[in-house]
Amino acid sequence: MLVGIAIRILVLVLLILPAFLDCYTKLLAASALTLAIFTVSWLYLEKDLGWASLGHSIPFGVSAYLFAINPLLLFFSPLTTFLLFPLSIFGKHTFPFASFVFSVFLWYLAHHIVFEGKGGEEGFRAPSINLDLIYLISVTILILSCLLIWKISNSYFGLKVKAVRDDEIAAKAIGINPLLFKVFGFAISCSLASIAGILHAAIFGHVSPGVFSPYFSLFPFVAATIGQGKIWSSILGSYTVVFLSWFLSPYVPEFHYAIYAVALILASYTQSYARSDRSV
Amino acid sequence: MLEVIEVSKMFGRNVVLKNVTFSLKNGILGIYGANGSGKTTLLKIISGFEKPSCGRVFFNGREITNKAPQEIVKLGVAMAFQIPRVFWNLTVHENVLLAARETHYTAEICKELNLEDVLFKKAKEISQGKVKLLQLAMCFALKPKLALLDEPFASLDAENVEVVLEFLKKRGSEISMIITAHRTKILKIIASQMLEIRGGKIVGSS
Repeated sequence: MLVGIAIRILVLVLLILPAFLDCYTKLLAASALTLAIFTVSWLYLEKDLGWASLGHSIPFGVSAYLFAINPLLLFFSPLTTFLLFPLSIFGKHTFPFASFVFSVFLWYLAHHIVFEGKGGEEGFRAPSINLDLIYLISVTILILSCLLIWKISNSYFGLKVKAVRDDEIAAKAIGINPLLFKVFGFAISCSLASIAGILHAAIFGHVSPGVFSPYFSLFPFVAATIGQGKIWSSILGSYTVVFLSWFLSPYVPEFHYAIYAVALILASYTQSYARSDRSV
Repeated sequence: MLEVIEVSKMFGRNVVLKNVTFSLKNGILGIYGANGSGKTTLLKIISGFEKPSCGRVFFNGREITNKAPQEIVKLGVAMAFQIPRVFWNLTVHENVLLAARETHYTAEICKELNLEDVLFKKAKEISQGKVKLLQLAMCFALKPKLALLDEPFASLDAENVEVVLEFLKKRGSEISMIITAHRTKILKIIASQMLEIRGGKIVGSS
């Protein structure tokens, strides 16, 4: 319990402190913040719905691109649900691989997206917003995301979502339509991931095919693994990955891959609802 | 109430049910037969979890043959599976609450079925016998008009068999039931009608 309180305090400090620091630290913190929102979106899909996505860069990257091409298109970003959700047809065990493969496909495709003579490998310029303002918006959205997920998860509706996660046949046997709840769950997760993608584009003022790269596809999985599947710890995990990567990369290039490798090994020991199954 | 008309089911070349026809107006119908005789498949067809290769099923005058299971539940037909289908990561209380939709009735059903001592344990943490009782609780928490119980006494010790028998007798006046079993001994205590099924066909009734 004390550890939990300490983690919460640390996260609050990490949210508030950068607002008073220099521009570079604030930029780094803003990046960690958007990726924390991204991780929270992934965690909801994995924990409450039981689907571990390794292609969560799909809603993240597609929304970033839409925002960069035309800011008004951001209102269509929840529709990215229908890019990720159909992959659930492969079943829970194959879904991670299917989503990863599709995200790699989009990474390749993004190199060829050209609009009005711009794009391709260089990507698009995105509307850039004042760093202080975007930082404040990001903090607000992170807090609201956590509250939203907590509220949904602890409601009767959230109980039905978890029931569908555990056993779709048992859900049907008590009158629950699994499809509706799965779509809803994916929509919540993809919408939050989309918001994270848009914020990411706004912070850096640029979006390139790299948003579909394995770095972003695997990031929320890695952060959640470090955080052992708990929201506050996973937010801290996001900050850990971002700060360690940025500070150590000059000494050990692409250091984040070392963190990813450790997380993949750790993943087999941490609790995962996507893998939990009681054989009868 | 329930009419099953010339229902057949084949899995590839394997004929599991052949021209099964019967009806149930009210009361408790016991269906007995050996392993592989088609009892579970019959109940799954009635509840919508399997589609018949041919034939039709009517409930209260309405055809339910090709309806989705969750729609059939809303019409008043509930099923308790032979191998329990419950929500393993939720507590016993949450499992029953999902079916009952109200806390008072949840508590009542759990008390009647001897689940009070495991109420706030997760389903994956309780014994197989208790999981069986949980499955029954979820089925009856739906307040069905027709309950389909597939081997409800399997995996239960003598004490819990008595608990279930008392529970079913009490509910039998309000809810019609179809109960399957391998042997007739327990069914004879509770069922008002009996059907024997062998090789996918009804071979006897009483």
